[in-house]
Amino acid sequence: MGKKIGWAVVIIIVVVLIVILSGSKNQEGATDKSPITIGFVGPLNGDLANLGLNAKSAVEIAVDEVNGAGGINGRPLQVIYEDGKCNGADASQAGNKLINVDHVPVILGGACSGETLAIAPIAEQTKTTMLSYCSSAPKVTEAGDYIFRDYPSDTYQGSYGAKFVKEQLGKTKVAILNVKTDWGDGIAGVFKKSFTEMGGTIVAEESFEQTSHDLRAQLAKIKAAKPELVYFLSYTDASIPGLKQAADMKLNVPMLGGDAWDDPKIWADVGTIGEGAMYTVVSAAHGDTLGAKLKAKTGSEEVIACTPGAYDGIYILADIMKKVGTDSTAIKNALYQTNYKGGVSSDEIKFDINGDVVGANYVVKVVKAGMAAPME
Amino acid sequence: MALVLQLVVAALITGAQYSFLAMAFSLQYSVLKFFNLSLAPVFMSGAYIFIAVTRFLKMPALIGFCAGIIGAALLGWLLHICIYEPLRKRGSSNMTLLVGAIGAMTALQAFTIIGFGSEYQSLQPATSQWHVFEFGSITITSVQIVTIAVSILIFLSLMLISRKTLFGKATRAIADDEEVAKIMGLNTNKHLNKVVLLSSALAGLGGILVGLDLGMSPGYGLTSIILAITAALIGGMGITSGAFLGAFFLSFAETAGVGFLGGEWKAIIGFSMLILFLIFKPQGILKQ
Repeated sequence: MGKKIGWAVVIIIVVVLIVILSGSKNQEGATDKSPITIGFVGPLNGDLANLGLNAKSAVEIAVDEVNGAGGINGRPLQVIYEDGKCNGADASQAGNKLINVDHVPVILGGACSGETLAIAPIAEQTKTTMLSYCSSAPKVTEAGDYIFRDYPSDTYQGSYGAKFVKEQLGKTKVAILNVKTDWGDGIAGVFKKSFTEMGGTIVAEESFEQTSHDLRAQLAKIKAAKPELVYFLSYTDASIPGLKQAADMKLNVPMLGGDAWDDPKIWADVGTIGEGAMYTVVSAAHGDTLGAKLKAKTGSEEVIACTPGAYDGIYILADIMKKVGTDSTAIKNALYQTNYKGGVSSDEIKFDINGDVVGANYVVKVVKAGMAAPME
Repeated sequence: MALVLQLVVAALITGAQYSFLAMAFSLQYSVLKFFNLSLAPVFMSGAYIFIAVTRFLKMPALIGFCAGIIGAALLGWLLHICIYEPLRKRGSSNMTLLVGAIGAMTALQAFTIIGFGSEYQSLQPATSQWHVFEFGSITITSVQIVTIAVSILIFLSLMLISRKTLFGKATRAIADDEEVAKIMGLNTNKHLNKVVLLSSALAGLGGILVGLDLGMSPGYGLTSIILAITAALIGGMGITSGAFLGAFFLSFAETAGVGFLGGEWKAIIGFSMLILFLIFKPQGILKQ
């Protein structure tokens, strides 16, 4: 009996000593060097892989820069990249893995609105903060308290497009052709509302499924409606055959697209057919600086729509984690207070009470000789 | 009026594009009696081999065309002798064969993604455009005319082969009853191989022609095979001429749906037809 008590005392003493010693070690100022891991979701394969991979490269650059400058209070930042494939099903799998297996406090993503909206309920439930760098569907505004984005809502893009068509181009009869996704429906809805409010007419409204390559029937209806311009909201997959079919059908009217057209693959593939096509895209205040960094890393200075937001996202999150640590709720609260200056996507990034970035700058790009350049 | 005509043209093009895989599927189903979903990768292989030969090896389109058709035929045949023939010899149920086919389809789709990436690919070089023929306000491109013509030509040849040749008679005998055909002295295994080669070549040809017009992505095969099965069901399962008619029936219904209701109705109409036919007219529009 006495022996057993003796052993118990020894064990307790050892445990207490370990606790005290390890505690005193921290007090002495030896810092925690373990990496801080956050998640990234974007389309790394498939339809929009170009956008996702470009953003990933920028994130890698930003992470290297943050770590080169001492990391987050001495702790290196690490990113786990997951493929959301631009659809809800794959994104929710990716999100579940990041949240429940990797236990990340923050997810930078998703890129497509469908990805973000699929992960949002899981993130909200587990109190994981999300900062999307490219989702633009209006629905993301109400996705939850923990859901942020540094990419403007389509409420802006749709009304900017409508204003551009009506005031700059002076067109009054427009046909809408959009892909049936949160992104396509979202912009089409806002465009229609703003354009009709300004006195324009929508002469045809057509849509197609994301997997469809055959838009001939829709284009035939649009042609019969005799629009002065087609507002064609589509991802790369359907845009290439769609633009060719429109040309084959002699639908000789200007085409205006959304930010998904900021993919050079489209313009390389359609060749001369793409000449003169226009699209609206968020203007990055300092995209050139980022382009130079990307060139050094990947050999191409191409900065695609989502990329500046993804790059700034890492800096915003790193700044916050330096101040409040890695608690997700603390990060969330700090994001509402953020006023990040000197980003590449915008000179000043702030979030409103819905977690949406405040303000938006768009430009119209025009395709000339297979390359898109800002309209003069 | 111009709109209706243009929609009719659109439906003709789409119907012709559906018809290749529908006929290939139906021809195989008539003798093998199972849903060979792995015709989807066979269909795509035609297009991807064409891309590999013309873009990577920089050979002329004609060689790409032949390579695509031969490659697809070989792929279909390999799948048959490696998977389906052993399973059939063992007396496996059609359900087992279907599961095997799903496995083969998924694996080959993943393989395509490794080789070509999962993004959209054009078969046509960016620098060239198809010649566009204009009839009033109606337009159609050269490749679309060729597609419709080849589709009709293949339909007629298959009819002729089926009625007039020994090959066709043997196929019909096996379709009626494989055991009896065997007892009558027909080398059924050898004959099935020929049918598989022919139908796979047909699927590959379809893949190239569809790809030349619409491009190709790895996910496209599954959509195509489901539409082909729908067309084959509408036309009457296992009746090759029925599959041809079914393809046009389906494309006209879909196009009418898009024309009068809207693009979001396309899939609803296509698959409602499948279900309606299954319930009310399971033997299809042509009875055997």
